[in-house]
Amino acid sequence: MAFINYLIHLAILVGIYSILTVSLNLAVGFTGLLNLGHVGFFGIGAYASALLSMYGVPVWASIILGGFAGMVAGILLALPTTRLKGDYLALATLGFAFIMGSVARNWTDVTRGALGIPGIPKIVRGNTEFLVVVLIIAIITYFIFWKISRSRFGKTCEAIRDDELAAKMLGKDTFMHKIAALGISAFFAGIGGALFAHYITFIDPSIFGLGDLILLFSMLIVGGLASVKGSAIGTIIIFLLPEPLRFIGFPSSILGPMREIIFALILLLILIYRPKGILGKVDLA
Amino acid sequence: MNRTLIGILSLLLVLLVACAPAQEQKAEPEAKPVEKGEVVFGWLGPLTGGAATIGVPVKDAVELAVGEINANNVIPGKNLKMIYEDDSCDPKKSTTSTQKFVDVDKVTAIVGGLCSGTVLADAPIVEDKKVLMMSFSATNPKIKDAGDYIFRNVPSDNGQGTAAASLMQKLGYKKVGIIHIQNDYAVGLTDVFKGEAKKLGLEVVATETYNPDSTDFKTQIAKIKAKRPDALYMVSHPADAAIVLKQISELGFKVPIVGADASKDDAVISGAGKAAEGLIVTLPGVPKSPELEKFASAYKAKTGKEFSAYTPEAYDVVYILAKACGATDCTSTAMKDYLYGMGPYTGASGTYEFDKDGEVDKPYDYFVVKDGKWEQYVAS
Amino acid sequence: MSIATQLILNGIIAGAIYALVASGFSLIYSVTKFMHFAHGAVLALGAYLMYTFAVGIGLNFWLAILLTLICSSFAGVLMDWLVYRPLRKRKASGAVLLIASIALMILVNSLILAFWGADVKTVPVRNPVFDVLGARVTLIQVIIIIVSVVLLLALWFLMKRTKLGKAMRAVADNKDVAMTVGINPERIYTYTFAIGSFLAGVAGILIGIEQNLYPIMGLSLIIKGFTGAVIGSLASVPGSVLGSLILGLVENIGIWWLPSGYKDAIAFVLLFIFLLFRPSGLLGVKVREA
Repeated sequence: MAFINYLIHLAILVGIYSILTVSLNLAVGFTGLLNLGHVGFFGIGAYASALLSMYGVPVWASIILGGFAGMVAGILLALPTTRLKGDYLALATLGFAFIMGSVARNWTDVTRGALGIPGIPKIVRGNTEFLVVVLIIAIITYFIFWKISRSRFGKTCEAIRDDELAAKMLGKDTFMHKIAALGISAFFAGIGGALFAHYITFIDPSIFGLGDLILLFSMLIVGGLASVKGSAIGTIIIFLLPEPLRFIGFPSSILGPMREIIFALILLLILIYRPKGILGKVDLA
Repeated sequence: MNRTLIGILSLLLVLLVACAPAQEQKAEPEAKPVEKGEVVFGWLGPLTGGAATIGVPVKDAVELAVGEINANNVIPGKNLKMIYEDDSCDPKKSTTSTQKFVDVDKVTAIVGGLCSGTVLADAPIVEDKKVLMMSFSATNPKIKDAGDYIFRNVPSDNGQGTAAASLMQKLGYKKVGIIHIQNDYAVGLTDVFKGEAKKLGLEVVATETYNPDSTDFKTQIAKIKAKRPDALYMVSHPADAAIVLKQISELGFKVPIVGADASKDDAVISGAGKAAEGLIVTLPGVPKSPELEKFASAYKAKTGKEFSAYTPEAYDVVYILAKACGATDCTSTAMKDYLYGMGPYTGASGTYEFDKDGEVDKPYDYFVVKDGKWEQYVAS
Repeated sequence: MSIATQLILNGIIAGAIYALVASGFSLIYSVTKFMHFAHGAVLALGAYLMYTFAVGIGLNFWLAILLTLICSSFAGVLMDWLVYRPLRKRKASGAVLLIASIALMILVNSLILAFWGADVKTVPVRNPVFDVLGARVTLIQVIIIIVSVVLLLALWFLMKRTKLGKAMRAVADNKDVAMTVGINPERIYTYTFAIGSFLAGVAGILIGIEQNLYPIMGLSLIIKGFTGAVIGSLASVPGSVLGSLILGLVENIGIWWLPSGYKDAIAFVLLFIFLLFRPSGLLGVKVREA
């Protein structure tokens, strides 16, 4: 049935984005690092995996390597920026995402620049099989993050978020924790990016753009900061919300901006009226 | 979990499912027991963005064809339905739309894409799912090898790059600068042009590019101007072409400019004003014929306007696909086999035949902007 | 034509454009202490309103400008009242306000896209070209440079010599102390947004005429704008103007050697370097780090 196909398509995207959201949560919600450049890791994972698999690396391996590419980028970004104050950290991470976009656009020998990379090999033949793959990976991811949230590492990160000076005075190595948090967060974002590339089979530098940033933050904040369950719920709600629009029959030129308008509005409303989101333990302040 | 959350989720689920029957009807028209059966095609092209001024008239031409085909029962016993998707000439959007066409709408054939980049990005998808795709305007040479199910009724840019280079040589230019948009179409075409220029003894002294959506080309133009070329080869979409021409004039760069098919558009003249005067472009030839006359008057009757670039080709594509559907059991694979063996087809855009790669061979025409209007140009 | 002169001139023009954006952004930051990203959206809105008034409806050119500037100021104030003020009441941090302003910008950009469509629009004006020291410059470009200088002086006058300016500086320095001398911070914020958004409107009109209109113009301009501000000094209007000028020059001279596609990359790399090594900018006081 055609409709089932469409639901599968939606479910795959929800699965991929839920991985992104929960990984962003580790950095922002648990550790208090306002990382606006998460799409940078997403994009790096996507490009790395796409390029590797087009050069013959088996897809499974290239996805994992995509995750590692993201992680390396995350650590490299974290090293100089974790000492920055709130909005400056935000700007620097945003700048990072833009720089990555620029690299993708200009390093044409490798990335084909603005032309993008078409024909990325799929992991499995059918969409239903792909959905199963994505769901398995998402469940594993969520399990890992759930474990982290209950571990000593996770609790220390939350302590850093709440009062870094106090944590330092208690002898915690806050620097290493922040690096690790961003690194882990970036690894899973890279995996998410790789899955995305192999699903859509085409990527171009626009993957590094601001568009997905608002999407991610809406999902993150609606679901609730520092809540693993919340990230899954936030992703589902944000994705499902504009779908009825598609069937009302808006022309597609309105459809695109309509989705963005809805996400932006939801984010604003949540920030103003319920900054903790649905299951969150803290708000951004 | 609290009750509000469950309430919200259930409401969303209900909404989604409530829309399902409506979607079912749209996507499974074969289930209609009444009257004729239905065949579904998809159309892919830019209705927004820098190339929309080419895409919107093409959509009109396609609608015209669909209307005529149904009114005259060209496909015996079947009603033709066309679903239109806007890809803004962006491969990211076109791949999503193509997947929708293939998985959800289950189209038998896709008319389009308009832009080479979108065709190249969509090709793996339609090849994998064995869905027929025929473009009326994508000219990148690589499309020749894009797949068994990919056709086009416009010639590859191998011809267009050659046409531009030989025109430049004929007009006596020795040193040439190039400015082009960064996309598959322009890169493919300028690569051919550079190769041909070298063979003809022309020297390419500068090549500058810009990203789609750019609006400031002054430094690129300044860099080219500093190399003092005799002529400029410009490969741009209408929106940017207009600004490039304007800024060339602002910078006092007096140089003859040759452009490509995508720039043959009234939007270039209206956007650049006097700066467009003298621009020469190459365009796949559409010879005068009774079929073209018939199309031109039908198009004018429908839209009130003269037909623009690629509308005759797009009109033909719909008819060709309809013919293939009528002559076979109207499945993609059968239609594709039919097309390879079809022999010469005579339509609004000329008489041509598909070769073993799904390509056609057509000559190129030249047009020039004279007194604010496009005119046919003959290199003397 | 001397290419070097042309590039320097291009750099000055670009710098002046960024300065138009950065000055309003910087003004708002200095008083409210957060980054009003949506300033870019107000700019874009100004450009599109100008298009509608002057081209769509066909009003008298100067009337269109007046209307656009009034609407832009109002749009900025609306943003403050509807979004930032409620957040301030909740004692939201600068980080929250930043995210909210990004959301606002995407919201307004998408509204512009939905309303006006994605194709590039032009506002045609008579634009004679001049020869200056071997380089070419148009009337509009000259106007942009002159306006950015005039605005800089006007803002300086406002901040240093008027009562309002003094009140704004008081709130910028210490909101609570300012309250004790009877200044109402919320009113000052309103004035700040009005003036800053007026500047955004001016920028939008001029840039729209010079570079044509496209829906995401606000985004690329605000990025260049705050990069210029960071380079010069975020909280100082003269600093942000200086920084913008430097940015414009480095960009245009830089791509003489680098492929032109790297123009934006230059800006981002500069932003990143300054944020890491000198976040207070060239002219600013050193900022305390986390």
